[in-house]
Amino acid sequence: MTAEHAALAHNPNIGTTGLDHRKMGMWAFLGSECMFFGSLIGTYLAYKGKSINGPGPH
Amino acid sequence: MATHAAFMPGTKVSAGSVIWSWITTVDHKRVGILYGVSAFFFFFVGGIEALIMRLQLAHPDGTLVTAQRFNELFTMHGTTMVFLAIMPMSAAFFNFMIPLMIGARDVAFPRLNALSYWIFFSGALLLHLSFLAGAVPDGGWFGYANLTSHQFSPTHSIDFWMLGLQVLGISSLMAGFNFIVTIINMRAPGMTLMRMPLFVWMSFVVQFLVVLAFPAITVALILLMFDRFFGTLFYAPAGGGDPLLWQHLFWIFGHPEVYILILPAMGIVSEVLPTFSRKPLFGAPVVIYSGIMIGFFGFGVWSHHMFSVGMGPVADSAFSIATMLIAVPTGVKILNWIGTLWGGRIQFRTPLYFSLGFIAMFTLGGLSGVMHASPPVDLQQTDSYFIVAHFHYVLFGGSIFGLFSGVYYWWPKIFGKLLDERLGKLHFWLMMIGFNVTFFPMHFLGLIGMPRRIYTYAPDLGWNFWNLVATIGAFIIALSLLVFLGNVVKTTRSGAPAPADPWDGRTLEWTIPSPPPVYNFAVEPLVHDRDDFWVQKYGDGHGIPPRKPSPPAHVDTSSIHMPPPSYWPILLAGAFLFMVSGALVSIYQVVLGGFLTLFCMARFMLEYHHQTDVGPAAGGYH
Repeated sequence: MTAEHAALAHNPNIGTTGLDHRKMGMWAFLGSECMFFGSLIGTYLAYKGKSINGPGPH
Repeated sequence: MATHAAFMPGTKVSAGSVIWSWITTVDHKRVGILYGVSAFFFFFVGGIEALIMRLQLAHPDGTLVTAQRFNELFTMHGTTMVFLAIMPMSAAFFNFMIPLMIGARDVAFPRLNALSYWIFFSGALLLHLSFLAGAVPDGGWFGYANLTSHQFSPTHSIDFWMLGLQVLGISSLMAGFNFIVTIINMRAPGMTLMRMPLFVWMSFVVQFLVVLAFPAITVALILLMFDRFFGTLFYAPAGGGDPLLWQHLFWIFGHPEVYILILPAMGIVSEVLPTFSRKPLFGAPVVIYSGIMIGFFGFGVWSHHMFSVGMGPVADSAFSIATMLIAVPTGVKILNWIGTLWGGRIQFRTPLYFSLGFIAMFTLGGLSGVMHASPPVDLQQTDSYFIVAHFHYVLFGGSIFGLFSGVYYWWPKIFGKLLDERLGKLHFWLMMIGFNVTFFPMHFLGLIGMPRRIYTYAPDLGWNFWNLVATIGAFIIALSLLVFLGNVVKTTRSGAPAPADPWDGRTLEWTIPSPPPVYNFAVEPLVHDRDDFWVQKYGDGHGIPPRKPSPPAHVDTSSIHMPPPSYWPILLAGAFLFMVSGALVSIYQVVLGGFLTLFCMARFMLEYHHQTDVGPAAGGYH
């Protein structure tokens, strides 16, 4: 076991895939955010130009 | 102290420090027990609501509750059972079992895990504070616009529901990220993805459904909040808005949600059947693939909840075909479960009873589900008791039976005592009979025209007999749950201690003592097979001999570092609840709560920022 391996094994934030838990959690969060903003953008597209009193498309 | 079973209460300490140790715990096993106890509590609350509704409907022209009270009862029954009973019960098993089954010492983010629980608790509290405020949500569990608008719901009732669901969603999302990372990144050496136990696999799919489905309802609820608090017109046709937007956003979340409710139960059944048939799961990779397929298809079928809206022939056909397709992976799983039993040396223990009940009842519910997939048929059945019968067959006959199978299966591992078999089987038969007596007649009621959500009915409609039968059945279910409670009390008082491996199990959780020590595994396991413990004991039957158990390792367990307890999760959740409930009281409470939340969040984040070693040597946990 090299010193690098030993350091990896000691770091509680590094998992069996060799990736940092925090980084992976952040990617999962970003994936989730895609659905969040997807829903908002979908709402915008569905309502675009349909407002009765707001400015219409030009 | 890192001693055996130190996570359990009752080790010669004062009541105050026991309570303190539970509210500051970050141990995944304790958090799992907290989830499980809360889930059971709310399961009983939702059950009492159901009993009151059944009493009201037992006779025509019932006068037990008013129409308003009845609306509140079915809304809270649905919301409670979905979000506060089945989901946290699944979360209890995720928390307790996933780290044990993948050979890990804890989840990836232990404090975030505790925070998930306390946020869940805050959301449940907020939802039920509505009873104290006298403004109980009454818009149905899917709260269709524009019933939820100010015009039709002027009191705070919908606000409680909307904010409560939003808070519960945050809790589920945090748990979802935590378990995705845990399952990908915390597996023991040798445990490849295809060697993961089926329960872990199904939970893995569920976490992806959670993190991809909940944002949709978050947006739907944010728009609703703007409509109700700030006078926007997102769901108001008078202002150019469209109530259908709510239905689409809700069901984009809502359909994956039903798979969030059923997949954990499928995972439990896929663990229980091989154990009690004493042979590997038939076609395990195919069961995994069909679980993934269900997850994918689950996002493409939401509009089958909306056939009566009139979306047009193209949309109706597309969603109808997708819905029929999703029955294929489900059918594959049912075939595989039955194939697992085929030729096995079956041991009829209580967990197997509940799993067999799951297969039978879930298949019936699945069949009526495929019937609704056809829009012309659905138009006849929608909003009738036929639908009520269908979803109780999949959620009660499916999820609840599967979860009870897990309760009986893992109880000895969690609490170190075996539940009584005789009472367990009595519980099963009462529940099975009561369930069918309650919900099977609802198919008939629906087909002879009884709509859902009516608080009473006239005596000459021909619905009297089956309604009375359903009410009697509901009380048989209640009786079966009392038998379960009796079993728990009896077992806790005088049950025999369970050995580490009471069922001759197949997966890693049975290799460690019951209940497990705080650090779970003294030595990190090395995994060679999906049913690793079984192969270790008996070989795989195809040439691989049993492995000689490695000599008990003399590990200095006091050197194992576990995360220390923290009180910031509960404080952060409390500050958050204070902020959210301020929306119903005053803007100053929202602002003050916001600052408190930010403060707690900062302390939560920076708690161990400067510390590199948080073990007992650093004065960590006790």
